[in-house]
Amino acid sequence: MYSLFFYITPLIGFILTLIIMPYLIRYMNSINKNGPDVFKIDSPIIPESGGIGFMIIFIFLLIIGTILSPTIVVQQRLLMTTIIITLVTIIGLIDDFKGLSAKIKPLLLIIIALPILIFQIGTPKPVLPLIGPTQLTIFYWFLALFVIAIPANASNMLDVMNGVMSGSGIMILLTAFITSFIIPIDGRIITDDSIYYLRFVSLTMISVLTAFWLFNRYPAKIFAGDTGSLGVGATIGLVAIFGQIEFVMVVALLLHIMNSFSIISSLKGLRERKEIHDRPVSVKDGIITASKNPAAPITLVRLLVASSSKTEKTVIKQIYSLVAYCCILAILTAFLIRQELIQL
Amino acid sequence: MKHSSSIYGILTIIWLILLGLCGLIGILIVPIDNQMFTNLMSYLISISKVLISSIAIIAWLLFWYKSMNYILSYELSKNSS
Repeated sequence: MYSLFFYITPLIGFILTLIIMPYLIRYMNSINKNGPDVFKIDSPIIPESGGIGFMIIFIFLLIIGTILSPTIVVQQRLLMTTIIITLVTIIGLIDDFKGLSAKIKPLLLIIIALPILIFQIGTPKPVLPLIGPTQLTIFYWFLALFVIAIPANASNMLDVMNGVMSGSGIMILLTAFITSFIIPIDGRIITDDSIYYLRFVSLTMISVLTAFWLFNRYPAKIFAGDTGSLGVGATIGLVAIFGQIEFVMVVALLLHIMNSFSIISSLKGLRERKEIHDRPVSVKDGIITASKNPAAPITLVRLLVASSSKTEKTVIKQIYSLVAYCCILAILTAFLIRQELIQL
Repeated sequence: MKHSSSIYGILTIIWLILLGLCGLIGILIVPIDNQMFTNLMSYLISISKVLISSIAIIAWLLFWYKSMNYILSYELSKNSS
């Protein structure tokens, strides 16, 4: 099942992304697609929409992976993934270059998940800790509608500082990859096809994202833009559903969900950036301070700097540690699920 | 870690409650013995199970939101003092 192609793909993805990024940085600067890095003292101008670079390579590798799939089931899942990820990338590009409203974007992300509901590719038997496998024949497919919109928006909302989105995406997908070795393959509930899909997609995204992170980490040379953040979030969602690790991924995404949930609930709904008059934090001489205004949205960064003002680098380190902590909780959850599956 | 310990705490509690919710749903999804109840009773029990699960999930989300607000005001007050 695991051919030479499976092992070479991550290497190809990593090298191609490393090669393409310097050209993309120059191109985005040449067309003035750039913006200020507001958390730095001199607010340097940084090229944006770097996500297009690694997403194109990811889609290219997904197409090759679909053609060289070991089984029909894996091929169906990879084909669906390629189509959905391409559409998400297009939505991200439109958002980056033309702008999409805060309400239209999630709606589009729900619409592009419709093929999952229509064709019902996947296994509607999510395995939960303390319960084991469940049978959600109808309800599962309606939940699947949100499998792109929720992680994609959560990833987008946490793309606030240099390397945070890419770094946390790598950690979460690495957790998914590790989980594939913890959860036992019994052929009835967890199948070889799901595990192959899980390992292939997560490893491919980790490779391209790691190469991108080298350019996106503090101090960033390029920003991912919505193209990158929506693409990474959508990949996590698809890995969760087609890799049959839905609950593990929910736990790994706890910090992301916490950030977006608190923003949406404190703003009483989805809002445009220009509609938010009270900023959650202020920056002076590279020091980030929390707003004391009760009307300002509750964001993760505001929570982290609430007790004392901090530099961007410190906040980035704290976010990395919190994501790593969620990933540890997710791996513990995977072991609880393993216990349930072994007892069957 | 010391500056964000309250966030680690809340993440742990949220995770534990999530596991607890799984346990609760696990107890609730035990099939109803149709021989013991009439059709109407079985139907009512099924609806009650969905209602209890939904209320538990809403309570979990409310707790999450309230604790975020609490942490923010607590951390901001530490900053002021």
